[in-house]
Amino acid sequence: MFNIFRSRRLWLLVIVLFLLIFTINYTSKNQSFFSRLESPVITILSPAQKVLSTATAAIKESLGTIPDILALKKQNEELKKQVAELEQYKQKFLEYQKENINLRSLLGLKQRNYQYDLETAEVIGREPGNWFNVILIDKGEESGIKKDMAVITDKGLVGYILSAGKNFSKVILITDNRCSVSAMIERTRDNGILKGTIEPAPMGYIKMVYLPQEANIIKGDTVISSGLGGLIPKGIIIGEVVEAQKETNGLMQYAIVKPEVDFQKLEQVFVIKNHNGSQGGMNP
Amino acid sequence: MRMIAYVLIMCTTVVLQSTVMELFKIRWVKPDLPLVFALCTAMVKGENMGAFMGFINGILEDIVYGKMLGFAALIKFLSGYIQGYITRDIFKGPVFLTMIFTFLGTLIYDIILIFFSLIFGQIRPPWYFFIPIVLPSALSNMLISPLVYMAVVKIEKFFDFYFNVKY
Repeated sequence: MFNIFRSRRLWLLVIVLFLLIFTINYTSKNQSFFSRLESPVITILSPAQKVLSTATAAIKESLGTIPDILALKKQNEELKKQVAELEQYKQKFLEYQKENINLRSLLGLKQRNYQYDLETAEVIGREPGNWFNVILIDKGEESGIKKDMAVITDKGLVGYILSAGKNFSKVILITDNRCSVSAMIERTRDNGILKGTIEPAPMGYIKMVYLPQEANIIKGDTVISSGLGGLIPKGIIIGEVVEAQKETNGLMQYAIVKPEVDFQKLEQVFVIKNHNGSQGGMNP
Repeated sequence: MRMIAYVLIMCTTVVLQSTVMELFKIRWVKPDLPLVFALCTAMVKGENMGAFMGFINGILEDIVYGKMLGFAALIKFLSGYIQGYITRDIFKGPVFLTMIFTFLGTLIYDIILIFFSLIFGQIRPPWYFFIPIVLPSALSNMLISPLVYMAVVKIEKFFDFYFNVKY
């Protein structure tokens, strides 16, 4: 039996719950209210976040170097071989580039500018929980960063800007199951959508859905961004296919993709401020 | 004054969680220090304080990393309240009891999170992640809980001495 005091407390609990549910609904539709609230809090917390994340990264790096030293000699030999190979590729690439320029000018095609306007940013924080994959970077609107811009590393696609404050931005990673990115299989040019880590993709892997049933996808195929939707520029490496299966309805197939970027070791990222003269748009 | 001190401690744990706790990440899971702090506060101080600490933890997470305001706050508020309510009349002296209650508290938190994620469309097929996320996170939280519980008791004694005891 509840006495008056207990039932008052119960009512208070119910009121708080309803208020929170109302706030969730309101802020999911009205982002400007949320942005006004997040800016001062993140501005206060970000200096401490920056110092601690730099210290954490330094500790992580020093811990990581111990096994690295053991493998250094072998790695050095392999790298020398790779350098020699890459020198050859570089020569070929320069030849092909010249040839390409000549052919394009012959065809009268307008040369496309693949140069991105990049903004370098440091990762200063990560989602505290284990369910979602959002990171905090130390650059925001002051550096020209806006919502929906693509975020990459030298390895490949990281995600896109969820929201941008004055001097910080939230980045949703491609492994977050709330993230959707248009992608294609580089070899076969089949288009699909990357849906984050969802069933049956194991943790850290991404599921690519809506692939045509007849698509000939094999293990090791490279997955790149398709550029559809205008959010992520076309041609950015995302990862490689580790498995392709038919959907249970038999109409489509899906692929499990291993991302190229090591999300556990993200320290520095690049934000693509514009590509081919246009900025990112809404996610499909 | 005591409440302000607790809010500041919670802010510190949230900052530590998103930076230093990355060092304790094993594969995809790391201990949730602010959640364990809220659960231990609930065990020491009761359901009201547990709900308050859960709320502060959640609202900070929402503001800094969330897509919408109130989502984590709602889940952690309820988790703190339930933890405080179910452990209200139980003797929590032995360490293993603290660990078991933290384990159960984390399970309750994850179940509430999955429930509200389905309602607000935040996670796609969430039950799939029960084994890879829920159980390891409950175990990792359980492991750090004796230290956090001890810290909460010490903090309480410190606050009692400085704020309440009059000579």
